Amino acid sequence: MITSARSKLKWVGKTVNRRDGWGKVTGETQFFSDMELPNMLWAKVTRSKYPHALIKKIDTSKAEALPGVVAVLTYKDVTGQNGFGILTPDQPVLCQDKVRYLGDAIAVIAAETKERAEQAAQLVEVQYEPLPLVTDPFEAMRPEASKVHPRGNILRHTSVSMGNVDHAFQKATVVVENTFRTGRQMHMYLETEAGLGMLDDKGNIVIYSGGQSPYRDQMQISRALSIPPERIRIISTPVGGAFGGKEENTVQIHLAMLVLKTKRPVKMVWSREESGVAGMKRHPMTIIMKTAANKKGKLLANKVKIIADTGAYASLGPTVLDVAIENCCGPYRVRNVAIDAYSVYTNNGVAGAFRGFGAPQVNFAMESNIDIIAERLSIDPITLRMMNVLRNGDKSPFGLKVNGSIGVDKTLVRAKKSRIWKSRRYYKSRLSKPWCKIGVGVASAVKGFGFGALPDFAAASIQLTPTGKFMVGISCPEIGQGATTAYAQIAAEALHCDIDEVYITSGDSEFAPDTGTSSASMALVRGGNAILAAAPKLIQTLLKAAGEMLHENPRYLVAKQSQIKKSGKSKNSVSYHDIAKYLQKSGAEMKIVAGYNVPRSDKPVQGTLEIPHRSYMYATAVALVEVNTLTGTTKVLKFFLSPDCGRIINPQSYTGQCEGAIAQGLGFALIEDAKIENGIVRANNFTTYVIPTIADMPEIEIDPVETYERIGPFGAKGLGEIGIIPVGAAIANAIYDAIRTRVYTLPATPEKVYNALEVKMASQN
Amino acid sequence: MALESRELTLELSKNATVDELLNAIQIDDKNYIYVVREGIRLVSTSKLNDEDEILVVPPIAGG
Repeated sequence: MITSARSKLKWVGKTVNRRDGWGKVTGETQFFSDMELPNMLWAKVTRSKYPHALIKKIDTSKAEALPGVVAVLTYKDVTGQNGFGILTPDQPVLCQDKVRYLGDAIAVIAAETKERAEQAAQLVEVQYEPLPLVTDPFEAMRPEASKVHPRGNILRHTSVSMGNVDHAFQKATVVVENTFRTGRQMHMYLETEAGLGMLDDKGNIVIYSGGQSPYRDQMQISRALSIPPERIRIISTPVGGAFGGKEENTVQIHLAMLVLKTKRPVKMVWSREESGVAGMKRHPMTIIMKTAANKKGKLLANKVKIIADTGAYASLGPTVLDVAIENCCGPYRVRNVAIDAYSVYTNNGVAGAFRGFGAPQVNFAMESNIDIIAERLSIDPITLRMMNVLRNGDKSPFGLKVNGSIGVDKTLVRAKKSRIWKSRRYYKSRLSKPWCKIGVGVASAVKGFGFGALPDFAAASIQLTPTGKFMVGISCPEIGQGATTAYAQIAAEALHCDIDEVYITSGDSEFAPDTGTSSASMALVRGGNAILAAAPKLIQTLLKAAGEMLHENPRYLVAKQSQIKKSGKSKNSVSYHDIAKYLQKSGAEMKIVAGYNVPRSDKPVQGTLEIPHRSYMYATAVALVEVNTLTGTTKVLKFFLSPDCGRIINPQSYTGQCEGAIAQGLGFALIEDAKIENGIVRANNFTTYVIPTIADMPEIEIDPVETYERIGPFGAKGLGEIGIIPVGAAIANAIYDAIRTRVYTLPATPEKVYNALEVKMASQN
Repeated sequence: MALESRELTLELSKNATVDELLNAIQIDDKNYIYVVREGIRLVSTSKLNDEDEILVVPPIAGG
């Protein structure tokens, strides 16, 4: 049972049941894909039949003639910029002259029924001229490769170096160089990309869609359709899972177009297969890493080449690459680094944001090399990590002081004391079958939260209701991480009231100012700090009103238990309820909007966009696995995770986030890889793309290290991503410990493990 | 003057608006730029005050 050190606080640090928990567990929650509106139309997208081709002609006449079809829209109906993408709007809303992957949208249809819309989507006739495919990112970088975009296939190339790696390699006792590859993981949310659109009574567009940022969605619709943002309302809560995959526009622009055209409510729900083809993926990466240490185990140098397959469009590929660069040396002091990183366009779907944002891939490489070095030097892997790990005051591999609280050394201590680690020899001796081998592996991780050196801001509103309660407006959607409950805890603490007197409205651009996105492990920090900016201002209003009511100087009044009272033992007090009535009668303002500019580093590391982050989360994981040497199957038996995510706001949500991250990390490590062959997605539903189920889950122990993070609300950091980052490496290191041969490509499927065993046996013979 | 400039001190006329600020720093695509004061987005007609620190943010996201 996790507890928090913040015992003096009333709400923060205590387990409060999730506000969204009951509805989701019982199925009562209506997601947008469940909702229907009177007179509603169904929408369907006609997608490309080729992964790379020129469009010669689009004929919509047969689709338009189909009874029940109300609208068939093409690129001609895009009234603004025919492109979306948060950073680089290079993805057509509807393709005009070229398609770059099978998910590309060519037409969007509204019809009276779902079936009729699907039928019409098939009747849109497109003449294509196929182009040579670009499916291998290495080949894509060659000058003679077919170009996915006119400017070439390299979306971004960045090199960062510090110190002198060549000199360090010459001095080193151990140098290891390996090539690592990671899979194309899919988000596989329970709710696929979906939404409803309608016009309100003023003719403004209202979009209900479970995205991760209502104001970014509003901006993208505005840009694509040349409509003022204030005429677009986005409602983004509840979300049936996102994990980064709904940070980009999905259904929103198409819904807005159809609503404007038909003047009727329109609903669009991507099928599971459509989500597999058109939806976002985790970047598959190839990482060539050469790491050196001296004979005592001190890390001397790391030379890294990263090639990320970003697919057909940029989305957040440029910043995913930055996070991979920032994290490729792990949470360690490494003085000499040379990093060369590429994000490359191909015809392999679209890759973008996914929990971890480039960090799990490079962590697998670095933590594998660390274990190899430890073995070569006969040093215990936790001891070697402890020797090199970042501590307060240390500089990062980029030569800058690491800001924020650093508790990664403590997470390693917890890992060393964990039951799995302490009893590893016992576990390894207890084989269930002679052909099943037991192994234990460890991995540490780091990741910044927020947008690093990029500018960022957040605002919240708090309104005193006529009954003396509080309505808090936050635009970060509740994406299942428990943010709404944490906001209520923070608000109740700051407003000195009961948590049941706080209502949270999240994810609605009409009722909340721009709090930013639910992404980058930042929703808690953005929203929490914005509440903490607004609450004192509202309390000042309450004190002033109470002073008038009690004929007291507000300076001698305090807020406590939903009342304003005179400090000391005086019983002279007035309730928030009475103050609300007083303020309402006097016509005074009862709503406060306040915000803050998110602290960031002074300037980015040269050549990068968002390195360094202002503060970081850390974690150490330990995995206990059983590998069946006859089948190559790996079963994770136990898993230990010690995160440093600052102070804990809600232990229950904290545990949930960690367990969810481990489950998703287990898929990344062992199972999940959306195979794309010749541009065609081969695994696009739960039959062909398997994710971990309850049967795959190990026994989990979470042992948090609480540090106090100055830039977080009540000392908290982010939490959403750090748990997933070390999972792949810890499991891979455990597999090695079990079978003494290493897997360099994730997911470590039975085939790969079996092949590694075969290679080992062949080399022994 | 462009977005690459990370910090800039500007003298604007009294009661200058956000729109005038964006003109001064030659931002054409005004609809998709966030102008922020103390964490709160401003609209094009918002008045600026002496000594205001203003954040001008293009559409960005990171991780």
